Amino acid sequence: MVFDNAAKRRALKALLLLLPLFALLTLSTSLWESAFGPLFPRLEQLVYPLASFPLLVGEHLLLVGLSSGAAILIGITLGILVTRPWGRDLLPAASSLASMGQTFPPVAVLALAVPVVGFGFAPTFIALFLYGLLPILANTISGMESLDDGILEAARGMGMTRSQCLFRVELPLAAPVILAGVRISTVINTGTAALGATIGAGGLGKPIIAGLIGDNPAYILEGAILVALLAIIIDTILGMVSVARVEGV
Amino acid sequence: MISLSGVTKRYGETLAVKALDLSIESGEFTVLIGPSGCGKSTTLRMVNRLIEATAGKIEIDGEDIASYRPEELRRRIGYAIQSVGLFPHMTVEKNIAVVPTLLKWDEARIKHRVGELLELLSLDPAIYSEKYPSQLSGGEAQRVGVARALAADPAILLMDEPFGALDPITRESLQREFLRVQRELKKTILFVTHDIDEAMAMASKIAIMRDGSLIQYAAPEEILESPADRFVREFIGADSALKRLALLKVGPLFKRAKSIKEREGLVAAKERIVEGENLWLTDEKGVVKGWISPRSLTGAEDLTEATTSLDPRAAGIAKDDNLRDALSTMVKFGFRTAPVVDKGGILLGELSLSAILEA
Ligand SMILES: Nc1ncnc2c1ncn2[C@@H]1O[C@H](COP(=O)(O)OP(=O)(O)OP(=O)(O)O)[C@@H](O)[C@H]1O
Ligand SMILES: [Mg+2]
Repeated sequence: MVFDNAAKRRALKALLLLLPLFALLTLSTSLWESAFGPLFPRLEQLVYPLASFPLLVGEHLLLVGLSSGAAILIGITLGILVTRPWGRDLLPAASSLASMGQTFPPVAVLALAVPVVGFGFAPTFIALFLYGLLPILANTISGMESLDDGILEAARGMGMTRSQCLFRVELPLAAPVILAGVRISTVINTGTAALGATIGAGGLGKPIIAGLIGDNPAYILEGAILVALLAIIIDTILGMVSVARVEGV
Repeated sequence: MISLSGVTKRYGETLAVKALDLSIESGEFTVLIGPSGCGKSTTLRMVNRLIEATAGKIEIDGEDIASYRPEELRRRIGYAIQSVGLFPHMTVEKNIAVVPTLLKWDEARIKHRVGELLELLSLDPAIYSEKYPSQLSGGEAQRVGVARALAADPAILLMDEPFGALDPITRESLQREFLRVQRELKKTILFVTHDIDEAMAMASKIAIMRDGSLIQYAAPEEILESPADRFVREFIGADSALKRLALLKVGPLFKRAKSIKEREGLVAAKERIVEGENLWLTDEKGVVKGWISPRSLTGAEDLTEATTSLDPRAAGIAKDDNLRDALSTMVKFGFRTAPVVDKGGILLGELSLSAILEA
């Protein structure tokens, strides 16, 4: 086990910088105006006017939180089920689905979801959920499959029940790989969620789309910078969680 | 007592174990040995039901193991394997505590037990308790593995090539140590190996298997003296006579020896020596300094001139050495008769080549 306290301290320091910056950019419109004023002197509107940034951030977080939360829950559960002795028949199907799915662009998932469930929050949620599910499933499977046979034999041989073996040995040992999947999935979802704005799901994609349509680079930058910052913050936090896991187990 | 009757394991077409009958007395150290793939591990694992037998019955102290829940059964049986299988996310202490924890022992009792076991296996609790498996050497990890198997004080230990992955020196020291532990604890042990020397060194009884069947089941001496068939003879190897010597101790075979102290002088030596025998020269405390032959006495000016000196720590034989090691020492130093000494080098007697050959 690696005791990487230095990495945790670095992550904490980064957060101390990133969080206030993000809050400032979300709450203060005058900051954007004074930054973009000299940059885009010919623009009439410098700050996206149709919704406040806190609202957009809230919508975005709700979208990501719900879809990633569901993906984590279902992805890990599925990964566990298909690596149980009685679920093993489904393992080849599940792993090829998980690896294949990731070559599928998220826009395509969105485009396919719209005709089925219509515009708005639902298709975006479904697309993000499905798209986020796959890396978590893939990593759960690979984390479970890479466990040392001798360790599992010892666990069973000493009299652990299947569930004790799962919760005391398999999950703690697979946790770093699973958490890496969760991290990748959530960060990608944070960025991909911006696409939801194209089909009316709200969130930080809205200023980006509006800027693209109305030829307003300030809107685009505002949306893009906030999404990027949000993704970095989430990545840093989840990174800290996996470091903590490695230490704690 | 463990008794297997008609135990069979079938994998599709192949029979891994064929109608095996084997009965292991309590306190016995039984070694299962045979060529790779002969069904040793399968047999072992059927005893703790990691593998379910296809047919036959296994009883422990007269009770059918099928009547227990497998987990319950396994918590009562120690299990150690070649790959050790320590849990990398748990400290040494937590690893050893696994079965006591499953059995819901209270914390103080577990802690006390872990310390006791670490000491039993010569690992200082202050140093090792909080280490993680990745911080241990192979030998240390295997000691912890054995401690873990012993944790809940099971009457039975199943061990599948526990020392198989260690280098020869570490393996031998662990074998010795484990024998010491076994003398203290008197567990009923079923131990798998494919190293015949390990079997000879450890076993009180050896079960030789081939192709899923038991070929011979007897004490090591008996297997060496009367192997059941050609397979067994080939399996124990061409040096079976030497292996037999390895099982016998110097203790009952050595005789009293004649000795002389330096100050007694040449004349006394000439009086004391017998044709065809040596005289051992010792200091005042009785520590062997060298030997004097009848031939070297003739024409010698004094005792020192007649003496071929020796170092009792190198050339001396201990009472509990085995005959193979004793023979090796004698060949090395060219002795027909070797001095038997205690730890301090004090002469206890002598062992002759003919005594070994007659043994
Ligand atoms: N799960 C399994 N499925 C099919 N055949 C198996 C299985 N496990 C073991 N066997 C077969 O059963 C036979 C006995 O295997 P076992 O592991 O008991 O051998 P072993 O004596 O322990 O050998 P080794 O010394 O190499 O460990 C072998 O021929 C092996 O191929
Ligand atoms: Mg084996």
